[in-house]
Amino acid sequence: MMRFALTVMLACLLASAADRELTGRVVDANTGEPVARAHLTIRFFTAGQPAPELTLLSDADGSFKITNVPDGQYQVSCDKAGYLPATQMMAAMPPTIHPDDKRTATMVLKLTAQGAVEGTVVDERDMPAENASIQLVRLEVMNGRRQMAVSQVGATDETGSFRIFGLPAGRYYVSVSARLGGTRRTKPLAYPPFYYPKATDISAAQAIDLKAGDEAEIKIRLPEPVPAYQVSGVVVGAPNAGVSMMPQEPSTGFQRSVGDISFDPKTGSFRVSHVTPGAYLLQADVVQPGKGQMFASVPVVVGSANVEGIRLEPVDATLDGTLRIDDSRPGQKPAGSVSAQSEQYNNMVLVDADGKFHIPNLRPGRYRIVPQINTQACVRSITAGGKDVRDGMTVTAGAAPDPIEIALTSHCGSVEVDLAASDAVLPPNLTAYLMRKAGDELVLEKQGYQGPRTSDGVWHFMLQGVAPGDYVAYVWPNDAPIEYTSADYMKQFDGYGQRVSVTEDSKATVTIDKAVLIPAKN
Amino acid sequence: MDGSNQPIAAVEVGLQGSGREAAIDPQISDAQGRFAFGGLAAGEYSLWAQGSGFGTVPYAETPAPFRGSQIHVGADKSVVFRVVPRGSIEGVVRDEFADPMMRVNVTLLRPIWSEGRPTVISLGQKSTDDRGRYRLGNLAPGSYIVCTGGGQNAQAPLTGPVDYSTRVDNRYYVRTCSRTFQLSPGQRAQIDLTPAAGTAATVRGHVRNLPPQTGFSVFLMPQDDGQQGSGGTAFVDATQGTFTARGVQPGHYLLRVQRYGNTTIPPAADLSVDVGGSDIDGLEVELGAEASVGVMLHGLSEDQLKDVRATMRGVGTIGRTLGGAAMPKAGEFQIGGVSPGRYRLVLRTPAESCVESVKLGDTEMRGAIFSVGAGAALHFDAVVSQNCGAVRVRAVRDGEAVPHAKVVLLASGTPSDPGELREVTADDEGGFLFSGLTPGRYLLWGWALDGKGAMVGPSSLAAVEQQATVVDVTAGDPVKVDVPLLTAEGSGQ
Repeated sequence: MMRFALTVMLACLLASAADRELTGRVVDANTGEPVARAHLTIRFFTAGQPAPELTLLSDADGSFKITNVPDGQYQVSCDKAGYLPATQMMAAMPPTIHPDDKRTATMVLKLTAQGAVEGTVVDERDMPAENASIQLVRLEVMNGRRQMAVSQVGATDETGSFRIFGLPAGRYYVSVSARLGGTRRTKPLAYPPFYYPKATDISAAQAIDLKAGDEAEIKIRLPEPVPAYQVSGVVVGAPNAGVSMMPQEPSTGFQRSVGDISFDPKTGSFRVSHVTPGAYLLQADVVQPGKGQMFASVPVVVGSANVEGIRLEPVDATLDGTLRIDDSRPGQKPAGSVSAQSEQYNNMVLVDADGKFHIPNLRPGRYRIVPQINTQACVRSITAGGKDVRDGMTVTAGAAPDPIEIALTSHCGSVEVDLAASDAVLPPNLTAYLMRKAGDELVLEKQGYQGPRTSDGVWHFMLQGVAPGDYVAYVWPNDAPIEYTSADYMKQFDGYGQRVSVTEDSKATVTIDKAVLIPAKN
Repeated sequence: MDGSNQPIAAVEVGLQGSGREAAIDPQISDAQGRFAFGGLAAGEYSLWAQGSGFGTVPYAETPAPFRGSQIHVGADKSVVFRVVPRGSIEGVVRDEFADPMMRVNVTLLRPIWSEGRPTVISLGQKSTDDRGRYRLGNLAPGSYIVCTGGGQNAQAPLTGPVDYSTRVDNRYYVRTCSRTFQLSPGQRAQIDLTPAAGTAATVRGHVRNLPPQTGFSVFLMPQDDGQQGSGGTAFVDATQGTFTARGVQPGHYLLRVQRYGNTTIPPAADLSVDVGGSDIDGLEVELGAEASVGVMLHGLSEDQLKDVRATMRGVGTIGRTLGGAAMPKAGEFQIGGVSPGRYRLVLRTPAESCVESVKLGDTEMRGAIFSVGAGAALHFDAVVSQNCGAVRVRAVRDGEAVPHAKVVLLASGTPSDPGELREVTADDEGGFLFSGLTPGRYLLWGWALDGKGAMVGPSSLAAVEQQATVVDVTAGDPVKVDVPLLTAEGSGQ
């Protein structure tokens, strides 16, 4: 988590240093009360070069003032115990002209009260558990999809107490991993995967809902330790590898590493100790000289014995294909890149002079193929073996998929999205999204940030290089957790999106009545 | 038993042989605090206990580093494992406005005696939470110091309207430490810290002769006692050779240019720097052409060579730094990347063997100081012999053995300019066997680390030269010698 996340980049100010000043005020986002002695860090950039940081405290009334500021840009971060670093990037603020003709940039920094989770962990004998690791897992929306991710971590002290602070409002789950004391036993024991209050799977865990400023206090009691086993084997080829082992939790997709892992790069042999019975996925990220990054994975079920002789064989899943512009002038060659994007990974390669590309080192999984080329062009079709794979294709280990054919056209359309929402107070980071329907799901085709707001209260968004086709346009803040890939989720926003058809070499305009806004959880 | 001789039940007690493996499953102490391990082979063992309120504790631990003492098991043996309750130090770090300081580091230091003098070591650090609180727990009784502030990230904020054109950007929280205090068993000490804001300097300079494609850092290491860890660090720009270390507080420093990521490679350049209140610009540091030192070992089998450690120990400005050696190749050790300076060669040979001679050309250099010039390549021939002596010491006070005392043997150099020192903790019978000694005369000292007359150690070995126990070692059976323990009065403390 970034310590200073409230960052404001301001564009050049026009006056000379002698009569230019920067003033501001730090206030509580909820109450509007001033925040005194907030720690402000200001960095000036002159011709792109950063000057040493300037740190100062806000006054008793939350205000601050810097006179004779230099030409260039500046960046302001704000930090105060008890508050969150804000998570919003603010757009450039125009300087205001004061009656005394000094050029003054004024900003208001709004701080939101932090959440915190604290408590104690005791072991199965009700003794304080020292050095237990507490992971706060949070449901986050990434690329329109909900996924579990570790938000913050903490550890208990020798009294079993912990405190995790600086939490934004939201719903959290608590994953606990603890090491049994006195590990030098002939028959090892370990705690099984554990979630507060007493679940072995996150889907059965109890959620902690924090509003801004909330502090939750929880008591955790570890389960009975169970016999633990070793999982050992070899990564074939004795490479440089990073081995990890994760419980398979298909219900949520949340992944946490377990066991104590040792790896010998000389022989490629690995050993995962203190693994409790259960189903796991054993993985290795492998770097082999001359072959680059490779990947190996094998499912492992641990019962009541050590599992030996596992072979992790690195495979090099690849994608090959050709990119062409179907209406290009003679001699025009596409230059650019193609990426294979999965939920976790993004592998990008350059297209060669003949339009060919080869994407090596893929983990098995489902990928979207995304071309990015230097000239104005948009996708007409993406196929593999005659099948439409524009919305993704599955890559399996060892198998050679059909070559991909990407057909681009320079006859793109453009879309102007107009948001007429004069009555609403809108956040500054609104973005227009063009979505394509793929079955039930919405697939993001293009997004564009706001242009200047016109006098009649209409926000204009221009999206260029849009492939001809039918779309639904929406507007929402670019940091909003909108699960647009879920048709069920999007039902609540029926009426927010507007259909728009794009044809070759023409501009379409679509008007939207309301932006998708989720009330802040204050 | 606990500190007041009361038995503790339900404590997990483990036993280990000299290897790291578990000798036997841990036992749980009964209502009388008793535990027993049977069927043990004779030899040295270590014990540990784990339970609520004290974490994992080794048997008869030494103050620092926290290390257990061994138990010599010959016939059946009964030991009293005194588990002293752990204490803690906690407190709040506040700034000059009494606001809690969030995410600042609090360092725990402990005075110890090491490499010939009293010093302090860092036992780690904790970061304060959003209420400015820190907590350092599981602490054995003894002397401690806690410090906060210092370093290039400890910039102190300005207040009121700031004129950018005349701004001050060298205001830092200076390193602020508690006094040395005694933590008694089970004590929960409360120590609040308020680092003072003061000025710090920026030290800029340039390193010449940077080898291509290697990463170097500049370290400013405080040479004033009690200032440990408050210096500056800066990366050296690989193409320009420039460096900028900010937040350097006034003091006397050793500036060292060193390859980062590899602390076993000796420093590449050292420079003494006095920092006052103002910035220092234009320091020029020249990396001398790296010298190398080769040592050819004669008289050991290939198997035994694995147990040899060849190191170089700097003398004078370079202080106590040790350089590591590369893996041997057919008996030859190569120590590369040596910066110019004066050194001693220290060879640790396998048990029961000792260094008979170290020759540089025709000159005998065993234990002697030699100079390494820029770009030099020195070559030593060392002869290792199995014809060695040993000393079995017994630490005594008034003729009585004192368990777990610290015993120091000066293996090379003189008390005023010590070379190789062997620092050990005697076992539970006050004994320790120093083996693999080249026949000759050795000086020994000992002092108690806890109990009656406990002390950190003498201010220097020169100060206690008169109290040294002198022993003449000959090849063959161990020479037995009693080492009367130093007392605080006679040792400069």
